[in-house]
Formats: sequence, structure tokens, C-alpha cells
Amino acid sequence: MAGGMDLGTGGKGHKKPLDTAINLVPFIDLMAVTISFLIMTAVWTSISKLQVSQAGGPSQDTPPDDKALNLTLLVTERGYTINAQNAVYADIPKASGGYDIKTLEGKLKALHTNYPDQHQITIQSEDKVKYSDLVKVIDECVGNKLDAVSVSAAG
Amino acid sequence: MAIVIPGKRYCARLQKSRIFGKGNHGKKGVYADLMITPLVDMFVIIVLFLIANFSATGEVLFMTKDIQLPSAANGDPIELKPVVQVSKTAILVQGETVAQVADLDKEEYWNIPALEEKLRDEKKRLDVLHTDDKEGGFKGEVNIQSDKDVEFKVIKRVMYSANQAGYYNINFATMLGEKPGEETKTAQK
Repeated sequence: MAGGMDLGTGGKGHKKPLDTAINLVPFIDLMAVTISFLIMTAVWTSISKLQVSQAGGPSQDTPPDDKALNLTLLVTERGYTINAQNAVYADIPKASGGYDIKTLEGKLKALHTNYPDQHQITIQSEDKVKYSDLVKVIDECVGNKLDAVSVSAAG
Repeated sequence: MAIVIPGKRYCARLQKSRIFGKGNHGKKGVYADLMITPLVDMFVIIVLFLIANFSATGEVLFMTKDIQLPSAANGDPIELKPVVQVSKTAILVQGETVAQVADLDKEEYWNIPALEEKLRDEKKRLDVLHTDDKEGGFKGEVNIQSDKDVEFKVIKRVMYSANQAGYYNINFATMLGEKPGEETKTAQK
């Protein structure tokens, strides 16, 4: 049987059969250990950060810009007030008991369209404002390219 | 020609079958091979999924039931920095209680002395740890992990204390979520 393949079906030669089964048991063991390790060390909650600075703090290392709007966003129990160039740019009262985040988003988008170089904003919050409401405002500012956020107390 | 018993005679192929033929009729093999190929496939998929979601930094924040984080859509990935936890009742630094929220109203000053002191200690520790490490040294960052219902009057005092201790960059920890506008839409659906 010159050139022929021995399938292990017969013959008295010493050739080993080719159709051998791979032993998968060690591989399954390895997989089981890896899966256990990865499940134990997995982090299921995805946490992010919103970076802010305290208004007037030394982290504001950028020099004051003449073209800057001096943009402030006042968060009170009545709603939002956006001040630009020391004048009221927009007053957004609460709608149906909650903060009108949609209108704020629209105003901030318009601000970014009109002043694309503006990145600084100071958020002034009243004492009674909840942390979640403050975070929503910061999130909205960062989302509209006003990413240099300073936070201070109102009044 | 061989003499056969009268009756049905099947062809050579069917004679070997278990149903029509005579061989192994009604007998089952004692040894059964388990099909482990789908099992291996499933393991490979699970391992790949877990490796894709693997976080090398591990748990940056210690999550507790007392602190429900608000969600934000535009946040950056959080890094390992000193953590100030603010719940509705207490303020903790690195898991150690430094002040009670109820006691804050009694004090006139904005700073929280115990918090400030603890953060200064932490800063000193970081300075010692990163003495020769110019890039990974202390950058004045602190993570504030606050409950979503805490009022700003507490947050501002925590921020002020951090500022006094030399932490000028404050990171508000949030859950990575959908945009606030879309959140209400989903709730309405």
C-alpha cells in the first residue's frame, strides 16, 4: 500500500491511526477556572466622573479672556437662570414640578453655536438644591462643550 | 442458493439497521460519549465576554446601599483617587466616618475640620508614595461619592474642606447613564 493512508482498520503494521480524539478535559478545566476568576473580579457597575473646580480656586489656571462671556448658571428652587456678560440671558422656571432640563439643553446649545470658543461656566447653586439636580446641570453643560465647570454657592 | 425462512427479507442496507435488521435490536450501549464541543464553545464565548468587560483598575468606589449615585451621560472614566463618601447621615473618607451630617448645621464655618485633617493626611501619604514619581504624583484630585438626595449645602462644605486641604480638582462620581432628557422619555414609555 504505497502512498496509502492507514486508517487503523487493519493491517499488521506499526503505524498509528490518524483519527485520534483530542482530550478536551484539561481545556475545560482551564476554562472553568478562568471563568470563575473573571466573574469574581468583574466590575458590573460603570461609574464615571464629572470634573469640576471650586469657583475662585487655584485650579482655574487659564487667564481671564476679554472675549469670555462670564457665563454663570444659577440653580435655584424656582429653576435655572443663565447670565451672560452680567445680564440675564435666559430664565428657565420649573415646569410641572421639575427642572426644565430640555429647555436648558436648548439654551446651552444655542450658546455654544453662537460662542463656540466659550468653554467656561460657573454654576451657582442654592443650598436646598439636590445633588442629583446639580449633576444633571453639570452633565448638560459638559455635553454642550462647556466643559470647564466651576461650582460655587449662590448668593 | 441458500434456503431461507419465509417472510420479509430486507436489502443488505436495512438488514444492518436497528429497526428492520437483526443486529443489536433493542440493546443500548453501556458507554455514551458526551458531546463536549458545544460546552467548549459556550465556555469560549463566556471567557471572551468576560475578558472584554474586564476592568484592570477594579472597584474604584466602594458601593453601599446608603449612597445612590445620580446618573450622567457625559462623564469620563473614573480614576483611583482619594474618595469622600457623602450619605444622607454621614461623611466618610476612605471608608472611615469623619463627620455626621446632622452636626454640620451646628457649626457656622464652612469647613469640616475632621474632613480637612483626614484629607491632608491622605495628601501627605500620597506625596510620600510618589516622591520620585513626577507624572503620577498628587494632582489635587478627589472623588466625591455622594447620594443623589444630599443637599448642596453639604456638598459645598465638603468641596470647601477639600479645597482647603489642597484638593482643587473635584470629581463628582456618577453612574454612567443615558442623557437626562432621554431618561424621562424611557420612563414615560
